[in-house]
Amino acid sequence: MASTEAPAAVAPAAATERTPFSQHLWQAGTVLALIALIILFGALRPEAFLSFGNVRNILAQIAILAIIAAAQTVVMVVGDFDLSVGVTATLAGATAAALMGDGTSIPLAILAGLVVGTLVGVVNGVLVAYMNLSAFVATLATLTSVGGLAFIVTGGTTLYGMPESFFSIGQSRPFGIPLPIFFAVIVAVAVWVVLRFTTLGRRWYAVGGSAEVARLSGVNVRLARFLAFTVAGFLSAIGGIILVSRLGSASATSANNYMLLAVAAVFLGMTILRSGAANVGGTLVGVGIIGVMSNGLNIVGVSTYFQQVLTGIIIIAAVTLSALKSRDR
Amino acid sequence: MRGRFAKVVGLGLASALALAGCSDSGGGDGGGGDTFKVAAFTAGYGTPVGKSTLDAFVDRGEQLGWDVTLYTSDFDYDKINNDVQSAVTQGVDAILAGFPDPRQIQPIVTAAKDADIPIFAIDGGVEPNDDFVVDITTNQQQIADLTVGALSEAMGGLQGKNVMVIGHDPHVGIATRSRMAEKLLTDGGATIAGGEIKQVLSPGTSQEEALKFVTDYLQANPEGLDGVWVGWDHAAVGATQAINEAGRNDIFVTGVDAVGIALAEIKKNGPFYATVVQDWPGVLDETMQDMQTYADTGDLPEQNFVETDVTLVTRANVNEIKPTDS
Repeated sequence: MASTEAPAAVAPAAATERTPFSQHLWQAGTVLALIALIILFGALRPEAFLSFGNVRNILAQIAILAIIAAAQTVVMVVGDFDLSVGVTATLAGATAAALMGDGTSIPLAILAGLVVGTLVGVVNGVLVAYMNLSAFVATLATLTSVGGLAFIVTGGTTLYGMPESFFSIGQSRPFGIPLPIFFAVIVAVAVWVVLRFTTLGRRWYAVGGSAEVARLSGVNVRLARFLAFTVAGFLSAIGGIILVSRLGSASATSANNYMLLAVAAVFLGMTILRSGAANVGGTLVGVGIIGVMSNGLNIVGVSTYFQQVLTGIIIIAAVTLSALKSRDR
Repeated sequence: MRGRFAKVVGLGLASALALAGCSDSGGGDGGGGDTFKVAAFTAGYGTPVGKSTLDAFVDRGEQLGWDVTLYTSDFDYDKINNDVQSAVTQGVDAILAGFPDPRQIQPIVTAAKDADIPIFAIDGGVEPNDDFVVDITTNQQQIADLTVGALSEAMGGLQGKNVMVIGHDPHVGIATRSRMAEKLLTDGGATIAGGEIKQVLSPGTSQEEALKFVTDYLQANPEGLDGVWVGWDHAAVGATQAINEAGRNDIFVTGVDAVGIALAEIKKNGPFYATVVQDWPGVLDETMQDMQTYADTGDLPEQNFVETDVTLVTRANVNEIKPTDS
């Protein structure tokens, strides 16, 4: 039997002893936290923090995290973790960059990057869904191997000198809005639609709620979990390629840090639904909290060391909230 | 049947991953009893300079007939300590420490001393250290002097200017030159933007971190930045990108290392004003010479700390400079 690490996602309508008001307050806690952060930093530096330019700046800074967190959301909906989303993004971006550096056309290089990311997802899916490995162990193993592959692809150095037109993906600003924000919105909406309105999405939630019940209901649990990891690999690759375009360079570790932030964002978002299930809307709120906090702390001049401590505290708070909700069900 | 199939697939995947994950090690041909055996290590193999220098050491060592084994990690000193201690136990004639943090290799130093094995270091710190029979590095004060001088030239002096300093304290060299630059800047009448050195958390993501530092700072202080001094080039490229995106042409950046992406930025005549070449090939030459002498005669270098000069790279000479990561 496959083991899962993420809190089980269940269908709504679980019993609770809370009053409707306290229940709503509980569920709105994450959104309230985001609002509180905005008010706090807005009060501390209103002219800087609340300007249109800074809002655009925050959205641009969290766009890639939003995409990778959406990938993590899909996996956590089925009750698993994917520790390899960051390195997958790195490898996909590095692959595209290396190919472009060798003269491959931009579309082909991007396609290759997407294929590489998807293949990592496929490997994860096979290991977890068909070989019954723990998602934690399987994706930890791919995290290590894929991280090594990224060093091989980049040769341990920083790849640069891609065609200028490639940079428009990550650096152009149609209507004054950075293009990565549009990509993030498209990915988030697409994932939301799949989770909310398609049979596949409902099957993912069913598997996350109880794999055994889903199986008895006729859901192909193995296939559902396999597809979740595959989609996560593909989405991570999108994030990685946009990051390379945004930075104009690719290193062997450029997107690795996104994994932890993505997990934190999904956990934060899981508190929003009464069921405690992973969901795109909640994930975006989580991403927003991380982005606003990082930007706000930078603006008020707090050191990065302290910022890292705060990020850890937020992860602990999110996991604790999720655990408390699970216990209440 | 399904179980067997799954196992076969699993073994196939594991084999594929293992094969794909195999990287070149510097292991020689095993050598005979007279072969000079060297354990080389670096925890900075993920950095362009670390990789190119250690790869060159392995190549040249093998050309000299040495039996060189290279141990690497991504700033994981626990792994490095274990690997090299094992190598010492198995028997080596010398150790080459590539860009080590001297504070984090005491198990290696102790094991080497116990076995009477000399450690030759490249960039092993910023001051003489008896742990090494020789440490050949670059002159950190000269790096700070040249880069702060270039920034001063670009900004039209230091007096009254606001300068952001971006560093990374876990790296001894960067931490040292960052402090030196901070002192030179404040002594010259500049103010450190944000009140303290901005610390990048991870060298691997330094470009994006520096991009955010400068973007956010400019958002809050549009007129409060005249220059950015950065301890290494990748972060300097991120700072440059932030300034470009803000549409500013009156803020200047300096870096250190002269990697290809930085030289490309300097050639654009944009905010990236200058960097510094640390002569790692020259340092490697000198190190190999010392090791060759030891291999041939058993003689150790007379001086245990050698600082080499660096070269400032600006728009004037950038076309003559070869990238250090090529």
